Amino acid sequence: MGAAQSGPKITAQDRAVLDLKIQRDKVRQYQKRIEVVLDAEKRIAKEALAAGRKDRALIALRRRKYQEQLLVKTDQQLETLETLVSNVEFSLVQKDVMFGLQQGNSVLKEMHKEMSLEQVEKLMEDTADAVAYQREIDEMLMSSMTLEEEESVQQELRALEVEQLGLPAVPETVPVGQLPEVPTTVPEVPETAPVEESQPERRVALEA
Amino acid sequence: MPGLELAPYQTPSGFTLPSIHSWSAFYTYQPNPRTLATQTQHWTQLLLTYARARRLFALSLADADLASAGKGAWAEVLHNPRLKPPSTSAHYTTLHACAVLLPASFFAPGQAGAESVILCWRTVGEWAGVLHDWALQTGQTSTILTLFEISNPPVPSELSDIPEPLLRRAVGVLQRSGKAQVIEGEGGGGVRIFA
Amino acid sequence: MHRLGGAGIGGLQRQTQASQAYKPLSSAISRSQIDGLQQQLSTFREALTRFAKEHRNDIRRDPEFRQQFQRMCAAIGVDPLAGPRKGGWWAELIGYGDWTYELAIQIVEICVNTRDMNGGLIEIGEVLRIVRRLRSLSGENDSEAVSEEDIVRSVHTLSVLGAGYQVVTVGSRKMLRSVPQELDTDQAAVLEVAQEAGGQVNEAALVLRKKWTSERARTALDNMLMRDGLCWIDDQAEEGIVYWVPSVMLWADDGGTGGF
Repeated sequence: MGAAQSGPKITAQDRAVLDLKIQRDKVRQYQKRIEVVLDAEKRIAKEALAAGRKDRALIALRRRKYQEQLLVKTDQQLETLETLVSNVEFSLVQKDVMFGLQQGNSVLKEMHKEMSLEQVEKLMEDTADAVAYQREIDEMLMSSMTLEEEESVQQELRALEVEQLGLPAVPETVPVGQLPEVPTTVPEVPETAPVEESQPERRVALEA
Repeated sequence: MPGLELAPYQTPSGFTLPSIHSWSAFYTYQPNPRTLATQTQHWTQLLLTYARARRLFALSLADADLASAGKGAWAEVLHNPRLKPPSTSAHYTTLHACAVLLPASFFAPGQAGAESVILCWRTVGEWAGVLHDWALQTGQTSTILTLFEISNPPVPSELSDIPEPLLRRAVGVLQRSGKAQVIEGEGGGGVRIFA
Repeated sequence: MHRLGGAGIGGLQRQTQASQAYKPLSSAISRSQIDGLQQQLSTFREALTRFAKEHRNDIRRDPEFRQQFQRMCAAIGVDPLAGPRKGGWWAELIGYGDWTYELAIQIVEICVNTRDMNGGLIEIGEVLRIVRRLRSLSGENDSEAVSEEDIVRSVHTLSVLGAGYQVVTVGSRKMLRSVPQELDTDQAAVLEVAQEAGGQVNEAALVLRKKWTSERARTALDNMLMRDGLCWIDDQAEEGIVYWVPSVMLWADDGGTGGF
């Protein structure tokens, strides 16, 4: 736009760098904004768990994981592209970069959809419409999630369960005054914990 | 004689309001032009000092509305709940006149003209200097920077949260002296700063 | 005005010169008479010099002493500020003239800087307070104390300039008017009522206290607001429209003093 621009000529490479950076900026902005959504999902997971709807809690947690990962991955990808652009002869990677930019744009559009709190609330509803939405989401999430991600979702679920049952409070607060009682109550905890930990491995093995 | 002495007041957040802030007439539009000029000058000084202390970059009518309910970043200064009647909330016109007259402020573009003003507690020229120094110190000269990453740097800087219209003006100053190059991208602006 | 044309040291000096000029003609005035006069003058001068030197610090520091000294000078027809140079020959000796002039200049600055706020009317007490703050004096016991008397005296030295600086009494207090316009009686009355209410005044108060008609009260207030800029309007008070006179209000800081 500017008339008397001084400095070096603005190349296609410059523009690519700028566009990549702008995309990364957007990812960063989404990262800030999505905190609210992530918190809402965690709350929903807790509520579902308290209501005995473990399936719904899982959907909420999976959704949460998916969104987090989406941001991290997009950010990494854009960073890689940026490094590529600044280190490699631009003409060699121009096509890849342009493709990356396009991809980035579509991910950002997807992210934009994820920003709505309304969608999150839908996870708790019982209407036919909402149930259909829940199933759809769950299928989509399950198919796009890696084993590691699923494992970490399961761990989060267990953490929530433990929190809700108030189990971890025992070893942390009791020690000082009530030592004599410990032997009768504590043994059960270490017994259940390892069992739970081994569970997902079994599941993974079965699924694999 | 009633023991009415106007005294400075320190807000819970530690800002010292001048005694004129405790004077109800300060919140009424003054019809005498000379008095109005004095009033405006006092408001201007107060608002800029406060903005600088709190790093507030803009003042909008929405801020004034919020403040009259005792809420928002500007509540402490635009609202005085200690007065009787309890709230002589910031007088709209007075405030607005002040904002317009702030020596170096300007309306944020795209805000339907009168919605928000950018408060320049540093002049645009000074901001240009800050920007140039920052680019030098962080080794980011000659690289392409987005305006967003300048106002949202990973390491907080003097430029953190600077509004885009103000940043663009500062860039404009550097551009005119050949120290910066502006590049417009899709969905955002960028700049290249030279040493 | 304090300048005394015929009497005082300046007068004596002039008289001596005149005597010399008339000498050929005046055989009536004997040589010895003039010598005697000269003698008296130099003795007086010596005494005064000794006194001034001895009490130099007291004169500078102690407002009470300064006032006594001032009275003594006035009694014997000597103007401490008179003389060839700006401070007068012996005012120079004690640095007293400079001191008064400095104070006068400071007063002018204060008046000019607060005029937009108070319409050119300021309480002497307020002037004193600002002077003390400007000079970083803690109070009356300070070694370089300034008193209300000093302010008033300095204002008198300003009147020579014809700048319209004038001390007026409003109600119980002395005020300094720094614009040429005289206060009319209605203005003075409004100021008095405002002063008693901490700076606040309205139509009803004037009708009640001064037995004025509403019309007269309204006119007086409107004049003070629009013509003189002596008061601020406040339309948010519970009792309706109220006028505030900043110059008779009490300010704990710079609020009423516009920039000080």
